[in-house]
Amino acid sequence: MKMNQHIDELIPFYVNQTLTEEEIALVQSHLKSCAACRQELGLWEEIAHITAAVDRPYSPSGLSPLVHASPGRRPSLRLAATSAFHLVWSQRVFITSSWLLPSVGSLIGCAALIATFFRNQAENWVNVPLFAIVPIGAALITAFLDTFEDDPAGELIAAMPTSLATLLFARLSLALSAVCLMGFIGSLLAALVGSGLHSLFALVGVWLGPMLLLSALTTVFSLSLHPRVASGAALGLWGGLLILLFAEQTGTPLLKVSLLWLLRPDWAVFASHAVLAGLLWMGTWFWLSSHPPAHMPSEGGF
Amino acid sequence: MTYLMMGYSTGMFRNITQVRGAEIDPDLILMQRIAAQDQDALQALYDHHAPGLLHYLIGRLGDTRLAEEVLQDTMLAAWKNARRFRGECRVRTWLMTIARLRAINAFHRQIVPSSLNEPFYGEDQRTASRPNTLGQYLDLNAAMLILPEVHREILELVFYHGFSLEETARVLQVATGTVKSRLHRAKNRLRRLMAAGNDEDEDEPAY
Repeated sequence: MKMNQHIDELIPFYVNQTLTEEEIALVQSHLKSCAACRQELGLWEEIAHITAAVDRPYSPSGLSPLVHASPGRRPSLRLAATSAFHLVWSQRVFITSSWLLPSVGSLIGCAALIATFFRNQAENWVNVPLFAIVPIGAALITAFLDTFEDDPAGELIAAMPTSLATLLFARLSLALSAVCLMGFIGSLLAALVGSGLHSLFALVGVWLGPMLLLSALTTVFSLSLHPRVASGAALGLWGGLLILLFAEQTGTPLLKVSLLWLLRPDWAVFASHAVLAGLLWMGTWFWLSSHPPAHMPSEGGF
Repeated sequence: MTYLMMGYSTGMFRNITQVRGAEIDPDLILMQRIAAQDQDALQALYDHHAPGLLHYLIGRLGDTRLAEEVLQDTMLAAWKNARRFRGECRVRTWLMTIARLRAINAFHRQIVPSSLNEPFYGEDQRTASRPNTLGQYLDLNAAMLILPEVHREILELVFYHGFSLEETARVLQVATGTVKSRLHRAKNRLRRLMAAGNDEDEDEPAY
């Protein structure tokens, strides 16, 4: 009887033909002698027939290209080449839009200034890379934060009951804190490599003021006009300034006024930058509550 | 045919193929190529297995769009984890195991499950008790339709997809004894559903 129960359990797999030859022989010899199991077999065959006929009239719609595109352990060369091409191709926005001059100017100014200071081993050469990179990085991030096109968070923000101004400034302070942290780490490294730890605060002072002011200006431009205008303006302004500094450093000043003081840390300069930036942001905050910008999500808490 | 020759020449899966006798599972060679990031092999694997997987997924999730998503998710997992496939089971079984786990995750992730009264894994008291209260006689076809999900799943795995006892146990991640007893209960449930007014051992657990 125990044997019977055991074989009884194999019948479904006898029906779907996945048993080994010995098991098949075992089941078959048992079926000959057991009427109850023959009845079971009949039921299982019927169940199998109905189950196999379950029709779900949908055919797979094809392998998503995303599956190929997602990083495996070792991406193929072809995939890498395609990705690289798309990355480069997407940069054409800088050629076709008003960003071309400002971004190229910025890039050249930045590279030239750093190279000059580095080659001359000028006394404050460690300041220059930080001064050239951190403010414009922060400004571009600020401009990006103020646009909600293709921004996954945009929809969420539109659905929130919190006021737009609060959300924007919360986003802004988070992003600027992150930039500050990176700038601080950069300064720490520069201090260790270059002028020693005692100059750390002076190093931070060089980029922190311009960063705040440029970001505040970008905020104003991007909210009153458009984020694209703001990033173009920030790039142009900063690129121009870097080129002027470069010209002055190489001995052919384009302006009568010297600008090199910008590269020397000075607490008064920093404080004036910071106060000006604060005023701009405060003004923006108040202005935002009565004038929601056109490119922002219109639903929301204001 | 080229795949088979490649399989022989590399010899990477030789011991696996020998276990299963002289025949070589072309899927194993596909897996080897996928492990080497061959996209065509992934496409071939998809072409071969997507219909079966989708059939299973739609049956479990009841939603074609979600089932398609889980199918892509399963292929992505296969693409990423091909190197971890050790050939302990057929590729089909491996894919089905992944698909099932992904489907359970997707089901629980849904904000509004497609059928609140029928959890992915659980007894569907609502439908299971209906015929008896009405005193209707059901034929096997109708009884299959209102069978609890856990029973329908195992019947499909065995009779639609043709998995063996060990493979079914692997896909469901249970012991072979559980597969046997679950099938036994499914059969009893069907028999009970077909018998009008007979509601003995109604409290029998689903699995």
